[in-house]
Amino acid sequence: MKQFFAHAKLHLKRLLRNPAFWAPTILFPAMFYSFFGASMSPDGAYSQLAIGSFAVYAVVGIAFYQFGVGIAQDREDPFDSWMHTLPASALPNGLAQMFVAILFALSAVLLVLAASHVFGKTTLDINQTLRLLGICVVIALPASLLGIALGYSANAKAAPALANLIFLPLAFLGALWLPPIALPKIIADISVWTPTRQMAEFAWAAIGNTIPDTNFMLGLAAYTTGFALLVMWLVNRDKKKRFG
Amino acid sequence: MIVASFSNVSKSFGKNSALKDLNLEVKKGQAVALLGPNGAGKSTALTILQGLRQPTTGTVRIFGQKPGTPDAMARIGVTPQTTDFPPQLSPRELLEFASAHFQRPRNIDQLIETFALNTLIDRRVQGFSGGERRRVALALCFAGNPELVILDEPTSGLDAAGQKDFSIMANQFVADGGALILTSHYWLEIESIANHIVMIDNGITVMDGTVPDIKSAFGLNHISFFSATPGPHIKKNYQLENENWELVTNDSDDAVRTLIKSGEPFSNLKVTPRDLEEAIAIYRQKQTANADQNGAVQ
Repeated sequence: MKQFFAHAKLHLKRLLRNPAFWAPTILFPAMFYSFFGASMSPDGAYSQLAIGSFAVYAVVGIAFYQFGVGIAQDREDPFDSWMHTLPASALPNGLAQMFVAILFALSAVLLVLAASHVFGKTTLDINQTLRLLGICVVIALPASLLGIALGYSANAKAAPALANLIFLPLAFLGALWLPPIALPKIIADISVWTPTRQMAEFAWAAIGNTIPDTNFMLGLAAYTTGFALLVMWLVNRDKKKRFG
Repeated sequence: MIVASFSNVSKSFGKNSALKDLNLEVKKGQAVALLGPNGAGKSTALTILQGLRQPTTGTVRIFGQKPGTPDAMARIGVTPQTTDFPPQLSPRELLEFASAHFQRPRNIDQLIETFALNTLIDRRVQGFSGGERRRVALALCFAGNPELVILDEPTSGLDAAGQKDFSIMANQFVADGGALILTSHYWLEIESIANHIVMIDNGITVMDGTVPDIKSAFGLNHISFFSATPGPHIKKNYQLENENWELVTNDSDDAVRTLIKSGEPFSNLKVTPRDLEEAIAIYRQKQTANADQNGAVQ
């Protein structure tokens, strides 16, 4: 526990003192919601759901940049090698990184909710808000696994570009910026297969107090398992390369 | 008591062999210096000891355990060759972070005092000079109150005063029963800290012994004098180098006595102790000469 707190404190300080790194990931979702999502008609069903979409956008963004870019940079950082000489397993550090990412993700989601109060034509009630926050913690798992996979696949220089290259199309294909109905037919057909769309379906279900379609539940479970296996393979590969 | 050991350890990176059959023991109260040219395998040996690399063959143990296990790591401190810290953090935050991993860490105020970090302790590492970063790295190495410290070029970048302070501190650590293994390019540092030397070249151990052992293997003292009319004794026993007659010997007292007894004229007599760097340089010259000779024979 002592080690978990030490790692969490370290990561929090490193991130909070580096606004160039955290500001875009925390502020962009609320900003994009204010520009696009907030203008949805209050009569339309998507008005409230847009809040969920941008909340998912916030969680996935944090996972991509904090894990994807962060891990890729850490892997080339001598300080990370030195940390491996401390008497600790990888668990406290991994859990601390996950904890800090969830804190940042929830902050970004709360900013989206705040933006919906200021700029939106509709808002969520307290139950919808709590359900959405809970779902955001749940979808942080597959999103983080995808981010970690990116972090172990790319080098520090390539990771930011690669994160943008994967994250932005995934956000669009997953109907996080536009409602599914507004997507071109071919994109709408692809959309249902993307992990971001499946995450969005969970967020929308939380807002609507319904259960997502079984296909989306199975789809996200399959993606989560797939990402977890990919991460295990990539971590082992990295371990052999760096510490073999 | 053996705190760390290498038994027939070899390490290869693809087709390149970095270490070949290294055998080494570090005992309690011993300061071992690993010497050798760049690329000799010194840092590879240390990274294996830290658990950051796995040997291709052979066995490495720290306090009887495999390096990298939390129990083994709880008893060691490490200063790697390259140190870079998150620029957003201060030395105090780094020391608090390191200390959280150990059962009985050293008092942070004591570390601040020992490594002269008083003026730096609450400043962010960003903007620190190389020497200042090195002092932080050394303080971190001792934060966990280790029994064995592994130091890869520990004072690289430190000023003369910092190097001297570190030597005093390291000697005290060893005198108190700690064990130390280091690599360094500063001969004065090696002579002032190490009581045992292992020289590696091309991954192979080429010398292993105490500092006096190694020095005496190549002659401890250097005798030099001028003689315009040398007699048979001087001509037989000394070599003419740049107008001076010279001899390298382990018993300079006897050599000088015999010289005086011979009655042959000399002036400007100098007896100087050989330093380790000179001894190693002679060793390398001999090795190169042997290799050239073998090449010529083949």
